[in-house]
Amino acid sequence: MSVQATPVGVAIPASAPAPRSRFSLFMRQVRRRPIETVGGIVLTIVVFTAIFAGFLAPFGYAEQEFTARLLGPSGLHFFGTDSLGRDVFSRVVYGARTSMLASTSGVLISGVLGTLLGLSSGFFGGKFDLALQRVTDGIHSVPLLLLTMLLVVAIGSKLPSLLTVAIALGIVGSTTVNRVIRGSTLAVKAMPYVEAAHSLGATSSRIVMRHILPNVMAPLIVALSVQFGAFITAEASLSFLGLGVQPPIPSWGGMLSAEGRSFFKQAPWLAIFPGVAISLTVLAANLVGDALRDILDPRQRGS
Amino acid sequence: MLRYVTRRVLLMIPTLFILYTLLFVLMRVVPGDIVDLYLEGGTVRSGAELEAQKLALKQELGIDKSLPEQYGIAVQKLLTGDLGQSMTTRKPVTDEIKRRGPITLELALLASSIAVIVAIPAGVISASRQRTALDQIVRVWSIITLSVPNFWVGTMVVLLPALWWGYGAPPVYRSPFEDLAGNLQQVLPAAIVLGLAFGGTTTRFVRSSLLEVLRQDYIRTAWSKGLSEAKVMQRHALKNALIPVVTIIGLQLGALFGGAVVTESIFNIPGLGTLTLNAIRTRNYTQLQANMLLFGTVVAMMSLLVDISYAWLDPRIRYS
Repeated sequence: MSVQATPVGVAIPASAPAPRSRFSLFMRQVRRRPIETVGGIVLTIVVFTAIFAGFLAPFGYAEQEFTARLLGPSGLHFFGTDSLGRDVFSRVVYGARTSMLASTSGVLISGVLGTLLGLSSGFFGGKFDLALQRVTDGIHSVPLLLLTMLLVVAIGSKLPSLLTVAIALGIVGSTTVNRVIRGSTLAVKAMPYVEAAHSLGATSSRIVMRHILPNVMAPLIVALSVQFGAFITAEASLSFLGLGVQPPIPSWGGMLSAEGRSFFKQAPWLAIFPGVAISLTVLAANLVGDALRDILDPRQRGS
Repeated sequence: MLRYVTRRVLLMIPTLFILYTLLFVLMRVVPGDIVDLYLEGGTVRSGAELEAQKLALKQELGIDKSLPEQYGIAVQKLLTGDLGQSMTTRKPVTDEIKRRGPITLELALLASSIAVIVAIPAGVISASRQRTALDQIVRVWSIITLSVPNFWVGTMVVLLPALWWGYGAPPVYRSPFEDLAGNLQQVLPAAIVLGLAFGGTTTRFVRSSLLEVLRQDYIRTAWSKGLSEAKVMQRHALKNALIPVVTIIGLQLGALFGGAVVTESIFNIPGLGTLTLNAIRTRNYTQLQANMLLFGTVVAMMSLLVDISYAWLDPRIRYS
C-alpha cells in the first residue's frame, strides 16, 4: 500500500461532485485566477524567447556596428543600440536565455542538493542533523546575496561565469530548501503509515523514496517556485554589480551596470528595456509561484 | 524570561562561530589574494623581485602562514575582542565600521519605517475589503513592488529626474547632523526604493494575518455586539494580526542589509554595503569577516528581540 500525493498542480476540492479531468481542473484554476494566468503566459513567452533566441533576434548579441552607436528605437533597432553599436533588442532577447539558464539551473541544483540534505537530516536525525542545522543557522544570519557574491568569487574564473552563478545560487538556495524539506520530513515521519511501513519490514530507502519523498513534493515545489523568482533577481543583481555573468554574454542586470551607465542620460532606452524585461519576468514568476502555493499548500489557502 | 534570554544569547555564540569559520575558510580558498591584486600590473615586473615583494607584503598582512595557523591566530585575537586590521587601510576594521555603520543604520531605519507606514494601512484595507477592486489593486501593487528589482528602480529614480529636470542628488555624502537637507536628498530616495520593496512583502503578511484573525470566533462576537468597524479592527483584530507581522519585519533585516549593498552603490552612499562590496572586490579578508560577523550578530539579536516582543505583545506566550 502506498500513499500517493495529490497530483502536482491540481487541487481537488473537498466537495468535488465527480472526478474531473486534469485539464478541466486546470481550466477552472485559470478562470479563477486571471492575473496569475497572465503571469503564466508571460513566463511561457520568456521561456520560448530564451529557447528560440537565435531565431527571434535580428542581430547577434555581440555584433557591433560602429556607425550605429547609441541610436534611438527604430524600425530596424526596436530597442535602439548601445554605445558599441549593438542591437539592444537582440541583447534583451539573448538576455532571456542567460536569465532562464542561470535561474533554472540554480533551482535544479538547489532542489537536488537541498532535498538530499533535508531528507537525510530529517529522516536520520542525530549528530549529522544537529551539525547541518547549526551550519544552516549560521549561513542564514548573513545576507544571502552577499554570501552568493562571495561564493561566486570563491568558485572563481575557472568555470564559465554563467555556470559559476548557477552553482553559487544553487548552493546558497539549498540551505533554504534543506530547512523546508527537513521540517516536512519530520512531520511525515511521524505519520502512522510510516510506522506501518516500518513494521512491515520496509527498508529505510524504500520508506524515504515511496512514502516520504512523494509527500514532501508540495512544499518542495512551493519553495522552488519562490526561489525561481528570487534567483532571476539575484542573477541580475550580481551581474549588475559586475560579479555575475561576464561580458560579452548579455545579461539583463549586466546591461544596466557600469558599461552602459554613463550613457543612460544620453540614451535612456539602454536603461529602460532590460529593466522592463527583468521586472516583467520576475513579476510573472512570482505570480505563478503564488498560484502554485495557493493550490499546493492548504494551510496558506485563502490568504 | 531572563533564563530564556541568556540561553538564546549563549546559543548565538556557536552559530556565529560556525559562520566565522565558514567565511574564514571560504575566503582563503578564493583564487588570488589582496597581494596579487595589489602588485600585479605594478611597476615591479621581474619574477624574483615580484615574489620577494609579495612575500614581504604577505608577512606584513599575516597571510603568509598556513591556513590552520592563520585561523588559530585570528580566533585567539577574536576571543580578546580584536577583529584585526583592514588589509587596505591598515587601521582596525572597527574604525570603518564605526564610521559607516550609522549611515547604513539611517538607511535601514528609514526604509523599514517606510515599509511599515505603507504596509499596515494597505494590508488593512486589502483584508477588510477582501475580493473587491481595492483589494486587487493592493495585491497587485504589493507583488509588483516586491518583484521589480531594486537596482532598476534605483537606476530609474536617479535617471528620470536627471532627464526631466536636470536634477541630481548631491554627489558627496553629508552627515545628517551637519546638513540634514543634503543628507536626506541622498538617503531618502534610496530609503524609499528599499522601503517600497520591503513594504510589498510586509503588506502581504499584514493582509494574510488579518484575514486569519478576522475568521476567528471572537471577531464574530465583536461584530454581533454591534461594534463599529473601526472598533472591531483596532481593538480586536489588528492587535492580534500584527503579532506575526513583527516577525517578518524583524526577519527581513538580513535581506535589508543585502538590499543596502545594491542601493548604496546606486545612490553613492558610503555605508556598510559599499564597504562590504569593496572588501569582496579587493579580497580584504579581515574587513569582510568583521562586516559579516556584524551582520550575523545584528540579525541574530533582531530575531531574539522579535521573540521577546512576542511574549510582550501576546500574553499567552510565555518563555521559560
